Amino acid sequence: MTNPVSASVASEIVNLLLILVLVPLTLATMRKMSYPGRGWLLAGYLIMAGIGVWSVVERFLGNPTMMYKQFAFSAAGIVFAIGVWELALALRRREVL
Amino acid sequence: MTPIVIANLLSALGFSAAVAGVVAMPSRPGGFARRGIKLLAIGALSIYAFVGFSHILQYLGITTAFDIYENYLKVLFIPLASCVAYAVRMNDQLRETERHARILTAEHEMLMRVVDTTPTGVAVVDDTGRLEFANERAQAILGVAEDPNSSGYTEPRWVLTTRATQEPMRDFSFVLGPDIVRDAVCTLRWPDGRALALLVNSTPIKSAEGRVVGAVIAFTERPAAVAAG
Repeated sequence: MTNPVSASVASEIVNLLLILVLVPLTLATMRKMSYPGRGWLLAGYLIMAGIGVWSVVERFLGNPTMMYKQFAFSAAGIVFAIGVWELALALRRREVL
Repeated sequence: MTPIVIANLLSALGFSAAVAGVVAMPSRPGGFARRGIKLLAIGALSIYAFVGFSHILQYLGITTAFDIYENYLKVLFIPLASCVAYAVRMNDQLRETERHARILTAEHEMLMRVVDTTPTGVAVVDDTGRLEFANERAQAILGVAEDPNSSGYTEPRWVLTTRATQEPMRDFSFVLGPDIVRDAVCTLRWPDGRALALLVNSTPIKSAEGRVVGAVIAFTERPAAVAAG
């Protein structure tokens, strides 16, 4: 059976590598786009990327900011919800195709 | 309820609301919220809705059964979210290209209507002087028709002479100079002895390197008295 701790570490490292590769590319892509809610969605994406990076750093520090990380997740969730609904309402009002 | 449970509850509700928002987006053909893009976004946001609920169960001491799945699922969030961004960008570019293609088609159709309506013969010749395009009036004057067996026109039966060169030609190669030709007079002679004088204007078509690769010709019939030769 997989050790949950090693699986967690492995997933965080893979996540970090994906963040390092994909986030700059995604930011370059999103910079060229203009949609309602884009700022919120970008903020949510960056919070999630930040959490991914911080999760690896935090392991070396003994998880002192576990609690704050949970609040960061909730902030990301709320920010995504605002961004998505702003876009969804604009789409429903046919302000964008 | 501990603050950590409240934080996870907010996270789970926030991501669930985001999923609901994506579901509520109307899908239109060629639009922002295409089905594939929506599915990717739902996939990405559902991961953290699930993680939030899993954490709630974990911190309330109910079960840690979903903990192991979190580790694998969390890795998918950034690639899926990035995929959404790329897909939206690609969709934008595709829509922009389609819009340009529609504008170009509309302009082309309008130009073709103008060219077909004008009482002047309008033709395009290649770098050998052979017809590549002729409007209806040009086809009537030159006595050619679109060749169903090729993309070109039927062979003209006339020979062409100009004032400058008496040598008979079977094409419009005399206009293939580097300069615009204005009011040149040429004569078409058919095998049955019929002759037709044309007043020809033309503009060379040049390649990017400046080489003449053809010409646009406009011509009208002239009375036989002014025929060359």
